[in-house]
Amino acid sequence: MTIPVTAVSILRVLLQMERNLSGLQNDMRNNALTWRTAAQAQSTPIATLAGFMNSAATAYQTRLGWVTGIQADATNWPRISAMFVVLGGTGQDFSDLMTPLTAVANQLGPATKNSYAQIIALCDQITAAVNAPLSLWPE
Amino acid sequence: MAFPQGIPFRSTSGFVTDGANDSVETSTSNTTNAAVDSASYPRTSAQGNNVGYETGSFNVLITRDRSTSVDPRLAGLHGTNNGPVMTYRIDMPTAGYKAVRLAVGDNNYSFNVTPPGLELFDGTTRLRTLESLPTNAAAHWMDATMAERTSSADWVSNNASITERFLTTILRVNITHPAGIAYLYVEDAATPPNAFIRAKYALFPKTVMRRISQ
Repeated sequence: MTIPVTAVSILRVLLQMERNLSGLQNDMRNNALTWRTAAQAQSTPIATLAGFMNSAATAYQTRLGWVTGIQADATNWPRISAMFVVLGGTGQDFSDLMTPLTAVANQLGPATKNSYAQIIALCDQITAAVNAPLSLWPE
Repeated sequence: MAFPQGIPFRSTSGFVTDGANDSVETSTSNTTNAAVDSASYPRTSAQGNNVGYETGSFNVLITRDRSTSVDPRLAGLHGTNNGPVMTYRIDMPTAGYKAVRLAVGDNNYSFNVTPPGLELFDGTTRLRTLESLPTNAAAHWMDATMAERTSSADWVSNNASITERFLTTILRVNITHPAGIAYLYVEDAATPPNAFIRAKYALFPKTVMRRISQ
């Protein structure tokens, strides 16, 4: 006998989505600040920094893919979505968050990173596009 | 994703400056410097890997900044404070042979660890014990081979790695009280010389093969 997907399971996924997306917003911003500092100090070789950024683009895509994956789950997504509506959210809330994050993730990999100046400019674009998420305590 | 990936564990990100391959784990879901709500996975490191604590709750984990005079990788630690097993996860770019390095210890105190201590997993498959012994003094750190390094400089110069073959891309370290961790590092490793023997006798139970290969 297997345990069915209950409202408890649905809540778990909803909370995972929150943690993943809020965390991704934080990580995109914090990593851009870290890369910018390294590029400005020229303390890490350009190729290494570019490798980190390309890897991060892949990792970001993975995390966004988890969300689009569950959204495509015809069985469970309607239940998750319905629970989110009870909390006062709408599908637009996910779109408003996912759209800019996806844009950054898509642009980060192919962007030119042949010089420290290009890396700094790219990091500035990311921090301009991705502000820190709302938080009760200083982060 | 880019390797190697190092994870220094401490309380405050800016306490020391991390190396290019290192991304500090603070798990600061609150700012009280203790008793953090410590589940932090997924976090994308600056090196581009998804990492973090998969499990954790208030009062399980204590984070500490200790010293800016030691190697930055040993500047702090996370220690358990009772509660359930803490699981730290690193999503790796590929499966295959990986070298793992470790530091367990505390700059200010001797550090108590008892079995099972820290255990290494490939996905959900237990590979080995990484560390299950206490340190005998402050500023001593155990490495991944359970050798006690008697200073920061000793750990930096002499810490030894262990190599394991991962069939999945998920590395997990379970940390069971009393235990803790100062630094975790993983990188791609060459296929070891005994890999053929391991493959030839792969039908043997894993425990037998480990005795042969170690």
